[in-house]
Amino acid sequence: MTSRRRRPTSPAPAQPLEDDDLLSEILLRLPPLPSSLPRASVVCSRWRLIVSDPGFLRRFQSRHRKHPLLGFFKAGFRRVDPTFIPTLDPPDRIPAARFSWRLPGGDDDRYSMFGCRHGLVLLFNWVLHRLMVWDPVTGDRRAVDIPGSFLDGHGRSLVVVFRGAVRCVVDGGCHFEVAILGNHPLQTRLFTCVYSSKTGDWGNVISTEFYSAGYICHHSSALVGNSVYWLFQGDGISILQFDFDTQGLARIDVPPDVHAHVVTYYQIRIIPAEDGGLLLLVLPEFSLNVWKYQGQL
Amino acid sequence: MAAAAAEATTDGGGKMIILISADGKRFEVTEAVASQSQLISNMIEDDCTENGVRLPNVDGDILTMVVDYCNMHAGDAAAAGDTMKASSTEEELKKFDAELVQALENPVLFKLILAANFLNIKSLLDMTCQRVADMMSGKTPEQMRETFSIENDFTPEEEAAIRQENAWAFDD
Repeated sequence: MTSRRRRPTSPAPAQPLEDDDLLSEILLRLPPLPSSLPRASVVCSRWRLIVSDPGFLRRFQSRHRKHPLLGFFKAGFRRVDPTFIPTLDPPDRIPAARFSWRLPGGDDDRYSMFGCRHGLVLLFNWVLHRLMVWDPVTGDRRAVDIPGSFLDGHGRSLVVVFRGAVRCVVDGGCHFEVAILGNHPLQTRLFTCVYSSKTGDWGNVISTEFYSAGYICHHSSALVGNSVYWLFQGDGISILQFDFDTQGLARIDVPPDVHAHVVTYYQIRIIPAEDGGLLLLVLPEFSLNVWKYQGQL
Repeated sequence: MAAAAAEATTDGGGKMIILISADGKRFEVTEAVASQSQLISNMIEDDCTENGVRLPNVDGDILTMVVDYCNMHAGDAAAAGDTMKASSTEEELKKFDAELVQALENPVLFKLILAANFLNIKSLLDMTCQRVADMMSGKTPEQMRETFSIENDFTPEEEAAIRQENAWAFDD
Protein backbone atom coordinates (compact mmCIF):
# COMPACT_ATOMS: atom_id res chain seq x y z
CA MET A 1 0.00 0.00 0.00
CA THR A 2 1.43 3.39 -0.92
CA SER A 3 0.70 6.52 1.04
CA ARG A 4 -0.06 8.70 -2.00
CA ARG A 5 -3.16 6.63 -2.75
CA ARG A 6 -6.39 7.57 -1.07
CA ARG A 7 -8.34 4.88 0.68
CA PRO A 8 -12.09 4.90 1.29
CA THR A 9 -11.66 6.21 4.83
CA SER A 10 -11.65 9.95 4.07
CA PRO A 11 -13.93 12.16 6.17
CA ALA A 12 -17.25 13.22 4.65
CA PRO A 13 -16.48 15.73 1.88
CA ALA A 14 -17.85 19.25 1.63
CA GLN A 15 -20.28 20.26 -1.10
CA PRO A 16 -18.62 20.71 -4.53
CA LEU A 17 -19.15 24.48 -4.53
CA GLU A 18 -17.50 24.70 -1.09
CA ASP A 19 -14.42 22.79 -2.22
CA ASP A 20 -11.96 25.10 -3.97
CA ASP A 21 -10.57 22.34 -6.21
CA LEU A 22 -14.00 21.21 -7.39
CA LEU A 23 -15.27 24.77 -7.76
CA SER A 24 -12.20 25.50 -9.94
CA GLU A 25 -12.95 22.43 -12.04
CA ILE A 26 -16.50 23.70 -12.58
CA LEU A 27 -15.57 27.34 -13.31
CA LEU A 28 -12.90 26.16 -15.78
CA ARG A 29 -15.74 24.73 -17.85
CA LEU A 30 -17.58 28.04 -18.25
CA PRO A 31 -17.75 29.06 -21.92
CA PRO A 32 -14.76 31.18 -23.09
CA LEU A 33 -16.95 34.26 -23.58
CA PRO A 34 -15.88 37.73 -22.38
CA SER A 35 -18.61 37.99 -19.73
CA SER A 36 -18.11 34.53 -18.14
CA LEU A 37 -15.38 35.31 -15.60
CA PRO A 38 -16.38 38.93 -14.80
CA ARG A 39 -19.87 37.66 -13.90
CA ALA A 40 -18.56 34.74 -11.85
CA SER A 41 -16.27 37.09 -9.93
CA VAL A 42 -19.26 39.06 -8.60
CA VAL A 43 -21.05 36.03 -7.11
CA CYS A 44 -19.02 35.94 -3.87
CA SER A 45 -15.49 36.50 -2.63
CA ARG A 46 -14.49 32.80 -2.95
CA TRP A 47 -15.45 32.76 -6.61
CA ARG A 48 -13.63 36.03 -7.16
CA LEU A 49 -10.43 34.70 -5.59
CA ILE A 50 -10.52 31.60 -7.79
CA VAL A 51 -11.19 33.31 -11.14
CA SER A 52 -8.58 36.03 -10.44
CA ASP A 53 -5.85 33.49 -9.72
CA PRO A 54 -3.14 33.55 -12.44
CA GLY A 55 -2.87 29.74 -12.33
CA PHE A 56 -6.62 29.40 -12.92
CA LEU A 57 -6.48 31.91 -15.80
CA ARG A 58 -3.64 29.94 -17.43
CA ARG A 59 -5.65 26.72 -17.15
CA PHE A 60 -8.77 28.46 -18.47
CA GLN A 61 -6.81 29.70 -21.48
CA SER A 62 -5.20 26.38 -22.29
CA ARG A 63 -8.53 24.57 -21.90
CA HIS A 64 -10.29 26.88 -24.37
CA ARG A 65 -7.87 26.93 -27.29
CA LYS A 66 -10.50 28.11 -29.76
CA HIS A 67 -11.25 31.67 -28.80
CA PRO A 68 -14.40 33.51 -29.86
CA LEU A 69 -14.08 36.34 -32.37
CA LEU A 70 -14.67 39.46 -30.25
CA GLY A 71 -14.81 41.84 -33.20
CA PHE A 72 -12.44 43.49 -35.64
CA PHE A 73 -10.36 46.62 -36.01
CA LYS A 74 -11.18 49.16 -38.64
CA ALA A 75 -8.49 51.55 -39.85
CA GLY A 76 -7.59 53.65 -42.84
CA PHE A 77 -4.30 53.14 -44.60
CA ARG A 78 -2.51 56.10 -43.10
CA ARG A 79 -2.97 58.33 -40.12
CA VAL A 80 -6.17 56.80 -38.84
CA ASP A 81 -6.28 55.18 -35.42
CA PRO A 82 -7.59 51.62 -35.42
CA THR A 83 -11.12 51.46 -34.03
CA PHE A 84 -12.51 48.31 -32.46
CA ILE A 85 -15.87 47.15 -33.84
CA PRO A 86 -17.42 44.52 -31.51
CA THR A 87 -19.38 41.71 -33.15
CA LEU A 88 -20.74 39.73 -30.18
CA ASP A 89 -24.11 40.44 -28.57
CA PRO A 90 -24.45 41.79 -24.99
CA PRO A 91 -23.30 40.88 -22.41
CA ASP A 92 -20.23 39.82 -24.40
CA ARG A 93 -20.16 43.01 -26.45
CA ILE A 94 -16.91 44.72 -25.47
CA PRO A 95 -17.10 48.49 -25.98
CA ALA A 96 -14.64 50.09 -28.43
CA ALA A 97 -13.15 52.14 -25.58
CA ARG A 98 -11.88 48.95 -23.87
CA PHE A 99 -9.53 48.36 -26.83
CA SER A 100 -8.49 51.93 -27.44
CA TRP A 101 -5.17 52.36 -29.23
CA ARG A 102 -4.75 55.96 -28.20
CA LEU A 103 -3.46 56.35 -24.67
CA PRO A 104 -4.95 59.18 -22.62
CA GLY A 105 -2.56 62.11 -23.00
CA GLY A 106 -0.52 60.07 -25.48
CA ASP A 107 1.70 61.64 -28.09
CA ASP A 108 0.60 62.42 -31.59
CA ASP A 109 2.69 59.79 -33.31
CA ARG A 110 0.64 58.29 -36.03
CA TYR A 111 0.65 54.59 -36.66
CA SER A 112 -0.88 52.82 -39.63
CA MET A 113 -2.40 49.42 -39.10
CA PHE A 114 -0.78 46.53 -40.93
CA GLY A 115 -3.32 44.00 -39.68
CA CYS A 116 -4.14 41.79 -36.73
CA ARG A 117 -3.90 38.09 -36.02
CA HIS A 118 -3.92 35.73 -33.03
CA GLY A 119 -5.04 38.56 -30.75
CA LEU A 120 -2.20 40.92 -31.72
CA VAL A 121 -2.40 44.13 -33.75
CA LEU A 122 0.57 45.20 -35.89
CA LEU A 123 1.02 48.92 -36.53
CA PHE A 124 3.74 50.91 -38.27
CA ASN A 125 5.00 54.45 -37.83
CA TRP A 126 6.37 55.74 -41.14
CA VAL A 127 8.21 58.66 -39.54
CA LEU A 128 9.94 56.77 -36.73
CA HIS A 129 10.44 53.62 -38.88
CA ARG A 130 9.02 51.71 -35.93
CA LEU A 131 6.62 48.79 -35.69
CA MET A 132 4.37 48.34 -32.71
CA VAL A 133 2.91 44.98 -31.69
CA TRP A 134 -0.10 45.69 -29.52
CA ASP A 135 -2.11 43.22 -27.44
CA PRO A 136 -5.45 45.04 -27.00
CA VAL A 137 -6.63 42.67 -24.24
CA THR A 138 -3.64 43.16 -21.90
CA GLY A 139 -2.68 46.58 -23.26
CA ASP A 140 0.92 45.40 -23.79
CA ARG A 141 2.82 47.28 -26.51
CA ARG A 142 6.14 46.14 -27.92
CA ALA A 143 8.03 48.63 -30.10
CA VAL A 144 10.30 47.11 -32.75
CA ASP A 145 12.53 49.31 -34.90
CA ILE A 146 12.96 48.14 -38.50
CA PRO A 147 16.33 46.54 -39.40
CA GLY A 148 19.16 49.09 -39.39
CA SER A 149 20.17 48.06 -42.92
CA PHE A 150 16.86 49.45 -44.21
CA LEU A 151 18.09 52.99 -43.31
CA ASP A 152 21.04 55.13 -44.36
CA GLY A 153 23.29 56.80 -41.77
CA HIS A 154 20.88 59.75 -41.49
CA GLY A 155 17.74 57.79 -40.64
CA ARG A 156 16.38 57.94 -44.20
CA SER A 157 14.84 54.89 -45.82
CA LEU A 158 16.92 52.81 -48.18
CA VAL A 159 14.21 50.18 -48.22
CA VAL A 160 10.64 51.39 -47.80
CA VAL A 161 8.60 49.07 -45.60
CA PHE A 162 5.09 48.88 -46.97
CA ARG A 163 3.50 45.76 -45.48
CA GLY A 164 3.86 43.53 -42.47
CA ALA A 165 2.18 40.58 -40.84
CA VAL A 166 2.22 39.22 -37.30
CA ARG A 167 1.65 35.69 -36.05
CA CYS A 168 1.90 33.89 -32.71
CA VAL A 169 4.12 30.83 -32.47
CA VAL A 170 3.52 28.28 -29.74
CA ASP A 171 6.53 26.06 -28.98
CA GLY A 172 6.74 25.48 -25.31
CA GLY A 173 6.09 29.15 -24.62
CA CYS A 174 4.21 31.64 -26.75
CA HIS A 175 5.97 34.32 -28.73
CA PHE A 176 5.26 36.35 -31.84
CA GLU A 177 6.94 36.83 -35.19
CA VAL A 178 6.63 39.79 -37.51
CA ALA A 179 7.40 39.60 -41.24
CA ILE A 180 7.92 42.87 -43.12
CA LEU A 181 8.01 43.50 -46.82
CA GLY A 182 9.77 46.47 -48.39
CA ASN A 183 11.07 47.66 -51.70
CA HIS A 184 13.78 49.96 -53.01
CA PRO A 185 12.34 52.88 -54.96
CA LEU A 186 14.84 52.43 -57.79
CA GLN A 187 15.10 48.66 -57.91
CA THR A 188 12.81 45.84 -58.91
CA ARG A 189 13.66 43.93 -55.77
CA LEU A 190 11.58 43.10 -52.73
CA PHE A 191 13.11 42.82 -49.26
CA THR A 192 11.77 40.66 -46.45
CA CYS A 193 12.88 40.18 -42.89
CA VAL A 194 11.43 38.39 -39.85
CA TYR A 195 11.54 39.61 -36.25
CA SER A 196 11.14 37.08 -33.44
CA SER A 197 10.13 38.13 -29.93
CA LYS A 198 11.88 34.96 -28.72
CA THR A 199 15.32 36.18 -29.80
CA GLY A 200 14.35 39.87 -29.60
CA ASP A 201 16.06 40.40 -32.93
CA TRP A 202 15.64 40.46 -36.71
CA GLY A 203 16.79 37.55 -38.88
CA ASN A 204 18.68 37.98 -42.15
CA VAL A 205 17.31 40.37 -44.74
CA ILE A 206 16.29 38.39 -47.83
CA SER A 207 16.20 40.19 -51.16
CA THR A 208 14.28 38.72 -54.09
CA GLU A 209 14.45 39.90 -57.71
CA PHE A 210 10.99 40.96 -58.74
CA TYR A 211 10.42 41.46 -62.41
CA SER A 212 7.61 43.93 -62.15
CA ALA A 213 7.26 47.04 -60.06
CA GLY A 214 4.05 47.25 -58.11
CA TYR A 215 2.55 47.64 -54.71
CA ILE A 216 0.65 45.60 -52.20
CA CYS A 217 -3.06 46.22 -52.14
CA HIS A 218 -4.04 47.80 -48.87
CA HIS A 219 -5.64 44.79 -47.29
CA SER A 220 -4.63 42.62 -44.42
CA SER A 221 -2.70 39.48 -45.17
CA ALA A 222 -3.97 35.90 -45.05
CA LEU A 223 -2.03 33.30 -43.06
CA VAL A 224 -2.29 29.68 -44.23
CA GLY A 225 0.02 27.16 -42.60
CA ASN A 226 3.44 28.79 -42.32
CA SER A 227 2.89 31.21 -45.20
CA VAL A 228 1.46 34.68 -45.30
CA TYR A 229 -0.21 35.94 -48.50
CA TRP A 230 -0.71 39.47 -49.80
CA LEU A 231 -2.49 40.71 -52.90
CA PHE A 232 0.01 42.38 -55.20
CA GLN A 233 -0.92 44.94 -57.82
CA GLY A 234 1.78 45.08 -60.49
CA ASP A 235 1.20 44.71 -64.20
CA GLY A 236 -1.91 42.85 -63.11
CA ILE A 237 -3.10 41.35 -59.86
CA SER A 238 -1.15 38.48 -58.36
CA ILE A 239 -0.59 36.97 -54.91
CA LEU A 240 2.67 37.15 -52.99
CA GLN A 241 3.49 34.21 -50.77
CA PHE A 242 6.02 34.55 -47.96
CA ASP A 243 7.00 31.43 -46.03
CA PHE A 244 7.91 32.25 -42.40
CA ASP A 245 10.00 29.08 -42.10
CA THR A 246 11.99 29.02 -45.35
CA GLN A 247 11.75 32.85 -45.69
CA GLY A 248 11.14 32.31 -49.41
CA LEU A 249 9.06 34.81 -51.38
CA ALA A 250 7.04 33.58 -54.36
CA ARG A 251 4.46 34.97 -56.72
CA ILE A 252 1.24 33.14 -57.52
CA ASP A 253 -0.69 34.19 -60.62
CA VAL A 254 -4.44 34.55 -60.31
CA PRO A 255 -6.77 32.86 -62.87
CA PRO A 256 -6.80 34.97 -66.09
CA ASP A 257 -10.56 35.53 -65.96
CA VAL A 258 -10.22 37.28 -62.59
CA HIS A 259 -8.86 40.31 -64.43
CA ALA A 260 -12.03 40.50 -66.49
CA HIS A 261 -14.03 41.04 -63.29
CA VAL A 262 -11.77 43.39 -61.37
CA VAL A 263 -11.78 47.11 -61.93
CA THR A 264 -10.17 48.16 -58.65
CA TYR A 265 -8.46 46.18 -55.93
CA TYR A 266 -11.25 47.12 -53.54
CA GLN A 267 -13.25 44.37 -55.21
CA ILE A 268 -10.82 41.59 -54.39
CA ARG A 269 -9.78 39.76 -51.22
CA ILE A 270 -7.83 36.69 -50.19
CA ILE A 271 -8.84 34.70 -47.11
CA PRO A 272 -7.87 31.36 -45.56
CA ALA A 273 -10.27 28.53 -46.46
CA GLU A 274 -11.73 26.51 -43.59
CA ASP A 275 -9.94 23.36 -44.79
CA GLY A 276 -6.54 25.06 -44.77
CA GLY A 277 -6.50 26.28 -48.39
CA LEU A 278 -6.51 29.79 -49.80
CA LEU A 279 -9.55 31.50 -51.32
CA LEU A 280 -9.69 34.44 -53.70
CA LEU A 281 -12.92 36.46 -53.50
CA VAL A 282 -13.99 38.86 -56.21
CA LEU A 283 -17.03 41.08 -55.99
CA PRO A 284 -17.59 42.46 -59.52
CA GLU A 285 -20.98 44.02 -58.79
CA PHE A 286 -23.62 42.26 -56.81
CA SER A 287 -22.37 38.71 -57.07
CA LEU A 288 -19.43 37.12 -55.27
CA ASN A 289 -17.03 34.95 -57.29
CA VAL A 290 -14.78 32.58 -55.38
CA TRP A 291 -11.67 30.83 -56.67
CA LYS A 292 -9.82 28.22 -54.63
CA TYR A 293 -6.08 27.87 -55.09
CA GLN A 294 -5.23 24.30 -56.15
CA GLY A 295 -1.45 24.56 -56.03
CA GLN A 296 0.90 23.53 -53.29
CA LEU A 297 0.71 25.94 -50.34
CA MET B 1 -5.42 -12.64 -1.91
CA ALA B 2 -6.29 -13.21 -5.54
CA ALA B 3 -7.22 -16.85 -4.93
CA ALA B 4 -9.96 -15.97 -2.38
CA ALA B 5 -12.86 -18.38 -2.75
CA ALA B 6 -15.54 -15.65 -2.59
CA GLU B 7 -14.47 -14.17 -5.94
CA ALA B 8 -16.63 -15.27 -8.82
CA THR B 9 -15.89 -14.90 -12.53
CA THR B 10 -18.11 -13.68 -15.35
CA ASP B 11 -18.78 -15.42 -18.66
CA GLY B 12 -15.96 -13.41 -20.15
CA GLY B 13 -13.62 -14.62 -17.45
CA GLY B 14 -13.26 -11.18 -15.69
CA LYS B 15 -13.00 -11.26 -11.92
CA MET B 16 -15.89 -9.78 -9.94
CA ILE B 17 -15.62 -7.18 -7.17
CA ILE B 18 -18.20 -6.20 -4.55
CA LEU B 19 -18.74 -2.49 -3.91
CA ILE B 20 -20.51 -1.60 -0.67
CA SER B 21 -22.22 1.78 -0.31
CA ALA B 22 -22.48 3.89 2.86
CA ASP B 23 -25.96 2.46 3.56
CA GLY B 24 -24.81 -1.13 3.06
CA LYS B 25 -26.03 -1.79 -0.50
CA ARG B 26 -23.84 -4.25 -2.39
CA PHE B 27 -23.00 -4.06 -6.09
CA GLU B 28 -21.24 -6.85 -7.93
CA VAL B 29 -19.21 -5.57 -10.91
CA THR B 30 -16.37 -6.85 -13.05
CA GLU B 31 -12.84 -5.61 -12.48
CA ALA B 32 -12.96 -3.98 -15.91
CA VAL B 33 -16.04 -1.96 -14.92
CA ALA B 34 -14.70 -1.03 -11.49
CA SER B 35 -11.25 -0.11 -12.83
CA GLN B 36 -12.65 3.05 -14.42
CA SER B 37 -12.36 4.35 -10.88
CA GLN B 38 -8.69 5.10 -10.40
CA LEU B 39 -9.18 4.61 -6.67
CA ILE B 40 -10.49 1.05 -7.13
CA SER B 41 -8.00 0.33 -9.91
CA ASN B 42 -5.21 1.10 -7.44
CA MET B 43 -6.83 -1.17 -4.86
CA ILE B 44 -7.08 -4.01 -7.38
CA GLU B 45 -3.40 -3.57 -8.13
CA ASP B 46 -2.65 -3.73 -4.43
CA ASP B 47 -4.84 -6.84 -3.99
CA CYS B 48 -7.09 -5.35 -1.34
CA THR B 49 -10.55 -5.90 -2.81
CA GLU B 50 -11.20 -9.50 -1.79
CA ASN B 51 -13.54 -8.62 1.09
CA GLY B 52 -15.48 -6.07 -0.91
CA VAL B 53 -14.75 -2.35 -1.23
CA ARG B 54 -16.52 -0.21 1.34
CA LEU B 55 -17.34 3.30 0.15
CA PRO B 56 -18.48 5.17 3.27
CA ASN B 57 -18.80 8.44 1.33
CA VAL B 58 -21.17 7.17 -1.34
CA ASP B 59 -24.87 6.47 -0.80
CA GLY B 60 -26.55 3.52 -2.48
CA ASP B 61 -28.67 5.62 -4.84
CA ILE B 62 -25.58 7.53 -6.04
CA LEU B 63 -23.51 4.35 -6.32
CA THR B 64 -26.30 2.88 -8.48
CA MET B 65 -25.78 5.74 -10.95
CA VAL B 66 -22.01 5.40 -10.81
CA VAL B 67 -22.21 1.64 -11.46
CA ASP B 68 -24.69 2.20 -14.34
CA TYR B 69 -22.31 4.78 -15.80
CA CYS B 70 -19.28 2.48 -15.46
CA ASN B 71 -21.19 -0.49 -16.92
CA MET B 72 -22.16 1.64 -19.94
CA HIS B 73 -18.61 2.92 -20.43
CA ALA B 74 -16.72 -0.31 -19.74
CA GLY B 75 -16.98 -1.16 -23.44
CA ASP B 76 -15.02 1.96 -24.49
CA ALA B 77 -11.59 0.42 -24.31
CA ALA B 78 -12.68 -3.01 -25.53
CA ALA B 79 -14.46 -1.56 -28.57
CA ALA B 80 -11.58 0.69 -29.56
CA GLY B 81 -10.18 -1.89 -32.00
CA ASP B 82 -13.56 -2.42 -33.67
CA THR B 83 -14.47 0.71 -35.62
CA MET B 84 -18.04 -0.27 -36.48
CA LYS B 85 -18.87 -1.21 -32.92
CA ALA B 86 -17.15 1.83 -31.49
CA SER B 87 -19.07 4.28 -33.65
CA SER B 88 -22.46 2.76 -32.86
CA THR B 89 -21.83 2.68 -29.14
CA GLU B 90 -20.47 6.22 -29.14
CA GLU B 91 -23.89 7.57 -30.02
CA GLU B 92 -25.59 5.42 -27.42
CA LEU B 93 -23.10 6.58 -24.82
CA LYS B 94 -23.68 10.24 -25.61
CA LYS B 95 -27.43 9.75 -25.25
CA PHE B 96 -26.98 7.80 -22.02
CA ASP B 97 -24.64 10.46 -20.57
CA ALA B 98 -26.94 13.33 -21.52
CA GLU B 99 -29.96 11.61 -19.97
CA LEU B 100 -28.01 10.74 -16.84
CA VAL B 101 -27.10 14.34 -15.92
CA GLN B 102 -29.89 16.37 -17.54
CA ALA B 103 -32.65 15.22 -15.23
CA LEU B 104 -30.77 15.49 -11.95
CA GLU B 105 -31.73 17.97 -9.24
CA ASN B 106 -28.83 19.98 -7.84
CA PRO B 107 -28.37 18.01 -4.59
CA VAL B 108 -28.13 14.71 -6.49
CA LEU B 109 -25.86 16.19 -9.17
CA PHE B 110 -23.55 17.52 -6.44
CA LYS B 111 -23.45 14.12 -4.72
CA LEU B 112 -22.55 12.54 -8.06
CA ILE B 113 -19.69 15.06 -8.48
CA LEU B 114 -18.39 14.21 -5.01
CA ALA B 115 -18.59 10.49 -5.76
CA ALA B 116 -16.82 10.89 -9.13
CA ASN B 117 -14.14 12.96 -7.43
CA PHE B 118 -13.74 10.54 -4.53
CA LEU B 119 -13.68 7.44 -6.77
CA ASN B 120 -11.47 9.36 -9.23
CA ILE B 121 -13.50 8.65 -12.38
CA LYS B 122 -12.20 11.38 -14.68
CA SER B 123 -14.82 11.20 -17.45
CA LEU B 124 -17.74 11.23 -15.00
CA LEU B 125 -16.21 14.14 -13.06
CA ASP B 126 -15.71 16.02 -16.32
CA MET B 127 -19.29 15.44 -17.44
CA THR B 128 -20.89 16.40 -14.11
CA CYS B 129 -18.72 19.53 -13.64
CA GLN B 130 -19.58 20.55 -17.21
CA ARG B 131 -23.26 20.18 -16.39
CA VAL B 132 -22.95 22.61 -13.45
CA ALA B 133 -20.94 25.06 -15.60
CA ASP B 134 -23.66 24.85 -18.27
CA MET B 135 -26.23 25.76 -15.62
CA MET B 136 -24.16 28.84 -14.66
CA SER B 137 -23.67 29.93 -18.24
CA GLY B 138 -25.78 32.89 -19.34
CA LYS B 139 -26.94 33.66 -15.79
CA THR B 140 -26.48 36.96 -13.97
CA PRO B 141 -24.57 36.86 -10.65
CA GLU B 142 -27.91 37.17 -8.81
CA GLN B 143 -29.38 34.23 -10.71
CA MET B 144 -26.26 32.13 -10.01
CA ARG B 145 -26.50 32.89 -6.27
CA GLU B 146 -30.16 31.92 -6.31
CA THR B 147 -29.66 28.71 -8.33
CA PHE B 148 -26.86 27.45 -6.13
CA SER B 149 -27.92 29.04 -2.77
CA ILE B 150 -24.75 31.09 -2.44
CA GLU B 151 -24.51 33.91 0.05
CA ASN B 152 -23.26 37.23 -1.28
CA ASP B 153 -20.49 38.25 1.12
CA PHE B 154 -19.59 41.53 -0.63
CA THR B 155 -20.67 44.89 0.76
CA PRO B 156 -22.77 46.88 -1.75
CA GLU B 157 -19.75 49.18 -2.27
CA GLU B 158 -17.40 46.27 -2.96
CA GLU B 159 -19.83 44.69 -5.39
CA ALA B 160 -20.34 47.97 -7.24
CA ALA B 161 -16.57 48.42 -7.56
CA ILE B 162 -16.08 44.91 -8.98
CA ARG B 163 -18.91 45.40 -11.47
CA GLN B 164 -17.38 48.68 -12.52
CA GLU B 165 -14.17 46.90 -13.62
CA ASN B 166 -16.05 45.34 -16.54
CA ALA B 167 -19.35 47.18 -16.56
CA TRP B 168 -20.19 45.97 -20.11
CA ALA B 169 -20.31 42.34 -18.90
CA PHE B 170 -23.49 43.12 -16.99
CA ASP B 171 -25.47 44.61 -19.90
CA ASP B 172 -28.33 42.33 -20.84
